Formats: sequence, C-alpha cells, structure tokens
Amino acid sequence: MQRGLAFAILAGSMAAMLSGPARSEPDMSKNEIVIGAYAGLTGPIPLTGAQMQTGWQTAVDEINAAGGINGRKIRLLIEDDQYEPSRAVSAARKLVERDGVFLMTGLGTPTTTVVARYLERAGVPLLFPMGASASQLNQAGLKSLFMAQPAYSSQAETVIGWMVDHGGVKAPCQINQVDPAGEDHSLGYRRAAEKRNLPVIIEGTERGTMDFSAAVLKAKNAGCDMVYTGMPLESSARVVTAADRLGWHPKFVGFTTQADASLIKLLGPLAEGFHAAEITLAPESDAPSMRDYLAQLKKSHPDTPPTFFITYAYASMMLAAKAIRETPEPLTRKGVIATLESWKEADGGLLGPISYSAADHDGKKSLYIIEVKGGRWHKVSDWIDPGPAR
Amino acid sequence: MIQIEELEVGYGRSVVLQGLSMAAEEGRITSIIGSNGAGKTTLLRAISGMVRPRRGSIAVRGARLERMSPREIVRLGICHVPEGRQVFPELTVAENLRLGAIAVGSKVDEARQQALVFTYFPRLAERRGQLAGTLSGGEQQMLAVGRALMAAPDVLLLDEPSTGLAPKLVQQVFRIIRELNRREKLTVLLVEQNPRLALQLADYSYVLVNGRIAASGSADTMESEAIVRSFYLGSAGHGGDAPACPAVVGLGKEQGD
Amino acid sequence: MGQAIVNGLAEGSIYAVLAIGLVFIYKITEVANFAQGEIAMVSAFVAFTVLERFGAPLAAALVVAVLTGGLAGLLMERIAIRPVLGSGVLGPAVVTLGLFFVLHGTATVLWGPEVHPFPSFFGNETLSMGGLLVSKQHLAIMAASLVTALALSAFLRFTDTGLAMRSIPQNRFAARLIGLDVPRLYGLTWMIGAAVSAMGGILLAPIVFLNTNMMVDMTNNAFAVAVLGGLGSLVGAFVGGLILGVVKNIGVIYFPTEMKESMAFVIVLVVLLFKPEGLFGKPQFEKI
Ligand SMILES: Nc1ncnc2c1ncn2[C@@H]1O[C@H](COP(=O)(O)OP(=O)(O)OP(=O)(O)O)[C@@H](O)[C@H]1O
Ligand SMILES: [Mg+2]
Repeated sequence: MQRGLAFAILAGSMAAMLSGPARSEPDMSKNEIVIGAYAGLTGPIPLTGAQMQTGWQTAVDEINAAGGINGRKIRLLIEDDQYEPSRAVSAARKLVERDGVFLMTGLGTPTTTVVARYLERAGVPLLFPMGASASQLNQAGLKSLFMAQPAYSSQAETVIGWMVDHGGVKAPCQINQVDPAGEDHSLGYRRAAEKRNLPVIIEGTERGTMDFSAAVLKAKNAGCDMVYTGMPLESSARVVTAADRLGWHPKFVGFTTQADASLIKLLGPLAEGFHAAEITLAPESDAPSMRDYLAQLKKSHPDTPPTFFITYAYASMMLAAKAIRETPEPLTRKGVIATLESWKEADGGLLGPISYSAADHDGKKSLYIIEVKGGRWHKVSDWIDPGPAR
Repeated sequence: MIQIEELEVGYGRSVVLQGLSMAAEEGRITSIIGSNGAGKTTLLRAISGMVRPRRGSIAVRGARLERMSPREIVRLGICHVPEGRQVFPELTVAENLRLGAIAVGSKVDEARQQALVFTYFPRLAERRGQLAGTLSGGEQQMLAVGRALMAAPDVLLLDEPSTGLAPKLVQQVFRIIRELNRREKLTVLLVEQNPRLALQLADYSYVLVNGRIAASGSADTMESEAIVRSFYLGSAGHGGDAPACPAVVGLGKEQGD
Repeated sequence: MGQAIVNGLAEGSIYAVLAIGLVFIYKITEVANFAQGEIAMVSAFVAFTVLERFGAPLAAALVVAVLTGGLAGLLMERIAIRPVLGSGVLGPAVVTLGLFFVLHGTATVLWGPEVHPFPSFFGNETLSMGGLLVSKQHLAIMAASLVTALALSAFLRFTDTGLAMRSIPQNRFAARLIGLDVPRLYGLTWMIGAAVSAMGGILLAPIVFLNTNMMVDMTNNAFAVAVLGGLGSLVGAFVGGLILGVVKNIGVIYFPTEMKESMAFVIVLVVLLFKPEGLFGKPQFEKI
C-alpha cells in the first residue's frame, strides 16, 4: 500500500522530469520579464557573489531606465546558494517553478554544473553563467546552456600558445590545483604543447596548499622557463613567492582569475611580468560600451570600482538583453535559443565578438593577454580568437 | 580544633555521611575507624575541600571550611595524605616534595621543610632523584606523607597509611606519626581500618558506621577492643544500619569534656 | 636534493611552530585544540587591523597579536573548555572543533574572504649557503620554533609553575589535593599555547598571505607532527615538524607532486606502527 503509493509518486515525478522539455512555457507578460540568478552571497565566496550581484543589477538598472526591452521591464530575482550545488538546484527550482522566471544566469562552476542539467530538463535557458569547465559546461552539448566565459582548457591553450609564439618562451610548464578546473588547465596546456612539439611538465598540488616550494623546485629542475598557474589567485601568488625564495624568476602566467589588481597588491614588485588573460574590455578602453558601463556603474553603485566580476556580470546581462531584444514576438524561450544560435561574430559589447551555432554553445573563446608592468596591468596583445571548438 | 557539626555529604543521589558530628583536639591524634564503605575517606575529603558538604559545618580554629577550595584549606595548614598515596609517578621524589611546598607559596621555607622530611624519612633522601612511580609501596607512602609535610601543616589528615605495608613497616610508619605529633606539634586525624592499631596510637577514637558516629572514646575508656571490634565487624557483616548496641552508645556519650 | 631538504626544513619549521603550541596545551590539559590554527589566523588579522587602521609600527602590531592570542586562549579555556572538562576526552575535543568554526566564521564576517599581503619583520631576501637557498623568513621561523620549543621545555623543567603544570596530567586529583591552583594553571597553559600559535600566525602570514583559510591545512599538518613527535614532547614537535617537512619535499622527487600531502599521513602511520608513542614520546606510566 505504502510502497504502491511511493512508487506512484516516483513514477509520476519521473514522468514529470522526462516531460521537462515539453513543459509549456509561462505566458509572457507584456510589460515584465523575470530573470533568475543563483549566486553565493554567503558562504565561501560572498565577495564574488556581491560583485556579480552589483554587475547584474547595474545592467538591469540601465535597461529599465531606458524603458526595458521592447516595452518589458526586467525583474531580477537573485537566490543565495552559498556556493553549494544542492542549494543552487533548490534555488533554481524555486525560481523556475514558483517565480516562473523566463531565463536564468548564475555564479560558480560546481553549482552551474548541476543547475545546468536541471534547467536543461526544464527547458529554461541558462545564459552566460560565471564559471567554466570544458567537459561539464562549455563543451557538454547542453541545448539550453550558453557560455560567454571561455573554458579553462581554451584559455590555457590560447595563453600558453601565445607565450611560446610571441612571448619568447621555450619550455612552458604548469602547476595546477588538483581538481576538475586543474584538469581543464592541463587539457589546454597539453593541446598547446602537442601542437608545438614541446614536452609536457605538470605539477599537481592540493587545494589549500600554502607552501609551493616542492612543486616549484621540481619545475625549476625540469628546466622550465615559464610557469602557468592553474589555481586560485592567492595560490598563484604563493607560487611566485616560493620561486623567488629559490632565486628563480621564470615567466609566470595565469588566466582570467589572475587578471586582477589584487595579484599586484599581494605580490608587489614580484608581480612584474606576470601574464594573464582578459575576456572583457579594460576600464581604460575608450569603446562606447565601456563608457556607458562606467557611467551607469557610477550612477547605480557610486564608489564601486569596475572589477572583473562586476564587468562580466554587467556585460553578460546586457548580452542576455540583446538576445531577448532580437527575438521576434511572441517571445518564447525557444525563440531566444534560436536567436543565440544564429549569432555570428555578434557584438558582445564588453565581451568582444561572440558566435554560437546549434552544435556549439561555447561561443566565446576570444581573449587578450595582459601583463603587469610598472605595477599595473597592460594589454599586450589584440583579441585572440582561437575559432570554433574541435 | 576541628569541630564538625551535622555534616551531610553525598555523591550524586547517595548520601554517605548523614549528620555526622565530631571533634579533634589540637595537638592530639584522633582516629576514625570503620569498615569498608563507612565513609571515612569521604569525611577526610570533606575536610580538605575535595567534596563539598551538603549540610553542616566544619570549623578549624574558628574558620569555616565547608565552602573553601582545597587550596585555601591547604593554606590554612591542613594537609590531606590520601588513600592510595597518589604521588606524581613521572616526577622525581624531590619534585614531588617540592610541589608540596610550591602549592602553599612563599609562606614556607622549602629547604627547612625538606630537611625535616629527610630526618623523618631518610629513605626519601637516598631516593630523591628517583621517579616516584618506581618507588616501593612503602616508599610511596613516605613520599605522600613527606609531600604533605612540605607545606608545613599543623593538621595532618591521614587516610589509611598502613594499607599494603608489611607489619614491621606499619609499626615504623605509626612511630613516625607519633613523633610528628609529639615533636612537631601536629594535630593528626587518622583514618584506619585496623581498630587495634588505631586505638593504640590515638588519644581519642571514633567508630564510623554507615556515615554516622557509632561510638567514641579514648583507648582506656573504650571498654575493650573486643567490644569495638565485634561491634563494628558485626555491623559491617549485616551491612545495614542496625541500631548501635547500648554499651557503645554509652561510650559515645562520654566525649566532649 | 640538498635544496629539497632545505625547503623541507623551512616548511617543516612552520608545522613545528603550530605543533609546539598544540603539544604544550595537550601535554598539560590533555585537550586536543583543533582551534589552534584559527587563533593564529585571528591574531594575525588583529595585527593587520592595528597596522592598517591605526598605522601602528610592525613591532607594536606583533605584540598586540601575541597578546590577542594569549587572551583568546585564556578566554577559550575559561568560557568553553572548563565547563566540559569532566566529560571525558570527546567533550573538550568537540568544543575545540566548535571553536574552530566559531573563530573561522567570525573572522570571515569581520575581515571578509579577501587575501591580504602582510609585512615581514625579516624582509623578503633569500640567503645562499653553499649554493642552497633559504629565505630569511623561513630562517626566522626555524629559529623561532626552536627557541620556543627550548624555552617552553626549560620553563616546564626549571620553574615552579612549570613543575606544577607538569604534575597536573599525572594526577589531577592529587594536584588539587595538595593545593595547586589547577584552574589558574590551565588558564595559563592555554594562554601560553595560544600566544605561541599567534606568533606562528604572524610569522606565517607574510609567506602565505593573510586570509581566513591560511591555517586550515597547516593545522592538519601540525596535528600529524604532534602525533609524530610524541604528543607530550615539545622538542619532539620541533623535530617532528622538520622530519615531516623534509620527507614530504624529498618524497615529491620520487613520487608525483600530487602525493605530497598524503605523505604526511603515511609517515605518521609508519612511525606509529613501529613506535606507537611517537618519536619522542615516553611509554606512559599508568594514569591515576
Ligand atoms: N566519588 C564517588 N562517587 C560516588 N560514590 C562514592 C564516591 N566515593 C565514595 N563513594 C561511596 O561512598 C561510600 C563511602 O566511601 P568512602 O570511600 O568514604 O568509604 P571508606 O570508609 O573510606 O571505605 P574504605 O575503608 O574502603 O576506604 C561508599 O559506598 C562509596 O561507594
Ligand atoms: Mg577510604
């Protein structure tokens, strides 16, 4: 009896899950679009969460102040997931099933990895979440997920390739944190090395490592002249100081995570010559999109500097608005997905050119290289677009 | 000197001492005899502050001890030599002794007290560098007494110092207790299971049965050892709190003048 | 190889500083203080605040931090540890684990998750000795941990207070009975142990950068070191730290770097297999 009931509920929910994509879309209001977001506002990454919130909200303020999108104002609902995958799924569920959001965005690689699968079943577009993983996200083949943050594998491949081709590096090697992101970094490094017939030297280190001397000494003894650090920013800084204590000063390289003023703050003069990747225009850029953004940020959040996360969140929200604006009426989720898949070198504003296709939702791989010179980050390359995924 | 009135002490739910009253006179040796579990150790612990009485009073020279910490009581000059020696096994004999003095601070002349201990227990002087845990049982007993003496007490609470010692050694320990009492003017409260030994040594004795004083008197006034022994062995044999036999109660009434 | 050994000594001396405070508290009070590293972290943050907010000179900030650590230890003992002392080994251990989370969480709320540079007393230079390089900061940590281990050992061995402290774990009943002020001595023990770890936090912060997570991994290693050295030995904690550091750094020459952290526990396991009381631990007398 009990069992029969449980089975019926299970079967029912299975059916509901399977029928997810076919679920009817909420009726679009004529004057409002609800967008949902999950982010760790408390928990281990509250600072990043707050910056993403600032960026999204700034974009929404700007859009709504200009009359909304085709007459519809955006209402943004942000749920705190504490950077926990299970909470993120609950948050997404609530946003989709109770609040009836039209589309979603969010923050965090581990959270996005599971939320993307739920939204795939529910047929809700997940646009430009902050996070990256080649196998789990960027190149996972999900129909409703669109990425604007290059996978770490493509970042590593592009950055290391550029360092060898244009930066005078002969023996690049890599020190990673042993986790899925670290795997992504090695994947890209292997591709770059393979293409150039270079040996692969990778040192893996535990999450939370404080003393990198051992890994650094091994890299030094292996004859590396460049170290790519596939790890959080402060860990990269520890790698640099550990090498300095060994009197070793190879070229140090990172990816988007390291492209931040705090690296310079932590390392001081040791930061000089550090290379990293940037995927949004720099605040110094004189592009009109940057001028609009800085002006709006000043209005919405005076005294807040345009950090990477704020800029990315702003740019990605503007991009989502662009996709909605370009979708013909009646506005549907399927319509938005079709619009995105039609983008070919579309103007991504602060994010540079973006292309998607039905088969490739990893649309943004372009980045440019920056380097610390005189205590500031400087752009040292043009946009590099490695082209479509293999 | 030690005046105890209506003392009630227990652990958890059980009551061990039930309204016990007794006194120990200054400069005398007072003994408490009683069978296993009678509450002798509990009584000493109550005096030294290791268990807190529930009711009643303990007064020493007018000072009330019931709410004092062991530390305060030691500093009043009342030292407890516990049952089972309780030395610090991984410290040397000398260190064990020093601790007795450290605990009361600068009030005592450590060197003087140590010399005193060594005159009573020359064996400890020989073994001063040895770890206490490696001493023989008798030597540990001497150390326990010596450690208490280091605090220059004027009241010594001794809990079964004869346990586990060979008869010859027992005699020796008791002789030393008597000497301490006579020469150092120490007031001694001695807990013993062996009534013959206790009566022999003490100026005045109490018989403790199930947490109550069942009899008391001096060795000569206690009618005969045999009465005491049969009384308290018999009572222990029954394990209950049978009313005390009239003869012994009569003895009890003689106290207090 | 030579450089790996030097690196290992440097890394190990950091574990040693923390392990010394840990062992000191454990040796006297028999409580495993899982919050040891967090005291170091909080103290370093206090120093940072004094530096940044009030522009205090570095030396003053360091003094403030060590005092903060000592005070934190004292308060922890009084407020959180003392009430549960009678409840077996697990009670106090769970409380210190709880304190770990309380300190970690509070620090995150107060100072946020950012990573900050932290000035070093000893500069950032590296010295070369016969071709082997070692940074002044690491040398300072090595010296500090050695001096602390020796100083605390001497304190326990040669002072009255030290003797009183040593007696307590051997027979807490007798210690109380003879009139030692056990609560005060426990408080003092926690104060000293916590102040030592605060010193460790300040020495470490310039190397790993100041952040709320800086001590978590270190504390794990410090526990391994404490067990390795024999829980009751301060010199054992120092030597154990160095051994752990060296073995880990030599180990990665022959094994993948990924294995480095797990090596700590393999070493501890192997040592305990052959010497259950740890390298410098004494076989225990019966506890009373
Ligand atoms: N810490 C304790 N907790 C609970 N009960 C206790 C405790 N200590 C003693 N008791 C109980 O109190 C009673 C009196 O014990 P006490 O040690 O005072 O007896 P005693 O007269 O000294 O006996 P013995 O001659 O065997 O030493 C006993 O029943 C004992 O079980
Ligand atoms: Mg007894």
